[in-house]
Amino acid sequence: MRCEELEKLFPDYLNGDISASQKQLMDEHLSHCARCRSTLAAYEEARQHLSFLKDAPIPSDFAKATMTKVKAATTKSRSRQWLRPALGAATAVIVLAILLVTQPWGVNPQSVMAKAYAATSNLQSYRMTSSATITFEGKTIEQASEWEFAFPDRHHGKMTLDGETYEFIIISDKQYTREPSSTQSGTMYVIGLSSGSGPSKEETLELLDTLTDLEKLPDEKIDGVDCFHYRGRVDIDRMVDKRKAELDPAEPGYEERVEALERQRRMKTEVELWIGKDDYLIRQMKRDMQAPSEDTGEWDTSSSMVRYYDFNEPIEIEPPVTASGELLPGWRLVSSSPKESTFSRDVTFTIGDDDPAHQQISFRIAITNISEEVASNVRVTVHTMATNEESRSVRMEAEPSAPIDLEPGESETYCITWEYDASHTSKDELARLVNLTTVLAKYTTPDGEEAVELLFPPDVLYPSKPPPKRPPG
Amino acid sequence: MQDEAQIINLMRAGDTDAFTGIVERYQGPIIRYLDRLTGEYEVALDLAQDTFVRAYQGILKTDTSLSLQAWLYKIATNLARQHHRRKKILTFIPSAHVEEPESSLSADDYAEGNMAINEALLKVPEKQRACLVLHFVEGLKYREIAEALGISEDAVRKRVVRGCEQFRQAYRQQEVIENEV
Repeated sequence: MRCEELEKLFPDYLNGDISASQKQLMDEHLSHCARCRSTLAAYEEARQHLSFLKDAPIPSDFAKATMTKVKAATTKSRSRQWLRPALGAATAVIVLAILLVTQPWGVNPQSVMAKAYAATSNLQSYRMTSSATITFEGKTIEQASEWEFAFPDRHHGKMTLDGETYEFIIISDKQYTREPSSTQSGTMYVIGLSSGSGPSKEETLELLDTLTDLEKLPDEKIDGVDCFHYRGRVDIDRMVDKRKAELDPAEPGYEERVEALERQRRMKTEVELWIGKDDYLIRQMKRDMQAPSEDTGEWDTSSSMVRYYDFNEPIEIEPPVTASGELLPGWRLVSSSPKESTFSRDVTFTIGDDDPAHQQISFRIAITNISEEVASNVRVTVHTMATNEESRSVRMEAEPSAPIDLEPGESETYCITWEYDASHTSKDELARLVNLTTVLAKYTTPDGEEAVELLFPPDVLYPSKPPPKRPPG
Repeated sequence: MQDEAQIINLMRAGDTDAFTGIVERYQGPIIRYLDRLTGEYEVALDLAQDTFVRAYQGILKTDTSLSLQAWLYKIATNLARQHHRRKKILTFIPSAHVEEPESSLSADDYAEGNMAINEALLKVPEKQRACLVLHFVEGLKYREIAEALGISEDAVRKRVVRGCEQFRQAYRQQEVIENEV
């Protein structure tokens, strides 16, 4: 019996729905094929866990609301279904606007850009209004919004779309939204707007790095202020190549990410900037974006115009909560951003090549504290299934096992080696088992909280960012 | 309850309300499926509505050879995929700063024990996740999944096997982290 044939029979095998002779064949195969044993175990585990997932709540009025929508759809063409993606795109426009106005233009050789960078990076507050026309999958949406910012991390915005207004307050990593109560569908969903955490230096530099073909246009007056006028475009190939180079082919999800990046090559973005001649503050920005729609083959586009004003005026932005911390009516807390990494890491492992009965498995774990705060009592533990113990995984402390403190920028290298009797395990299976090893760093924050960070394997959902470059000295 | 063929005949004869029976029968599985696929409950509800709207329009227009169940899953899968693509469009705007929303799963929505499972499931790539959910949560056979997703039975088997491994890996990490904290 081949492995594939066996896999086909997993469901019946576990349900006891196979003949005695088939079962015997399967058991025989399983007794000498470690790969199939492992696959079957994974299948059984998934089956066990996922069978619990049967209780997603169904709103009591779902069928009624759906029928209303069905009837409406049969009588008129549906425009509302485009709102959600369009809203998302509009949100993205705003995010880009926020990002651009806070850009360090310093990497650009032109002195105007360098001065604009200095001026904007010193801004304590400002307001902006934006209007955009977005064509998404053949439908055109007009969108308007106004935002105010108080640095370092407070944002307050209102966005009007199709006559309905959405409001956002973003403070540090917390995002609050208020959706219109009149929304007919009741299921309008605002795609995460996460500018509140502020663009990281790396992302900011990346964008700047990809702006190209800067061209000076005739000066113009904006709000009575004389402005320089520039136009440029995003060098998408450079951005894609750069991001691709940063991906690790050994990481899970690598192919999907490369695929997603490759699709971006067809995207085009042009930006125009108006920069005050006296203060080098960005007064206005125009942005035209085109992205291919995979469904229709046509281009999705967005064209936006953003005006900036009220520079360094006092602007107060508070969370929408009462004195006792309750949310004000209509508001909800949407998200807190995932935590930034505390450690950069370089984890390598080796599997001995000699005697299968005494395989030496070694992990070398180098970490650096890339946060702004000291990490106290740092310990590194390794949890592995590549073990001959009866229990399904064992936990070991890596050396040095004594807790140490790591100041920002400080590094430590941990090592651990153990032995595994692999005489009944194939090389592939052993490599797979070792790859399933989990390495954790545990530490205490300056607030006295116990924290833990996954060092290995690389996290699929929130890939760790490359360590920020520290300022010299 | 009327059988599906009867309902479809009534609809074709102009009785829109007959479709309510279909919605009531499949709302649970379709919402669940979309919730697992997107990881966003609100989005799942929205897409589930769209699924039924499209199914309704389709029933009047076309005579599909697929079973109604497979057809609904097919529409739902396509809608989830479209949703995913839209998010992709957002994420590749130069700022790279429109993050995907966090999963909408919360202790209010689900019993606490489900959290680690849900989180781990969301780490499994979408194609494999669709197969895992249809197979283990909704109890569809490989043949039925193949029909719904428009792929071969062999492809389904491969995705299930691969998905199980990815799920196991993600779940263990989840478990270890929770225990540590």
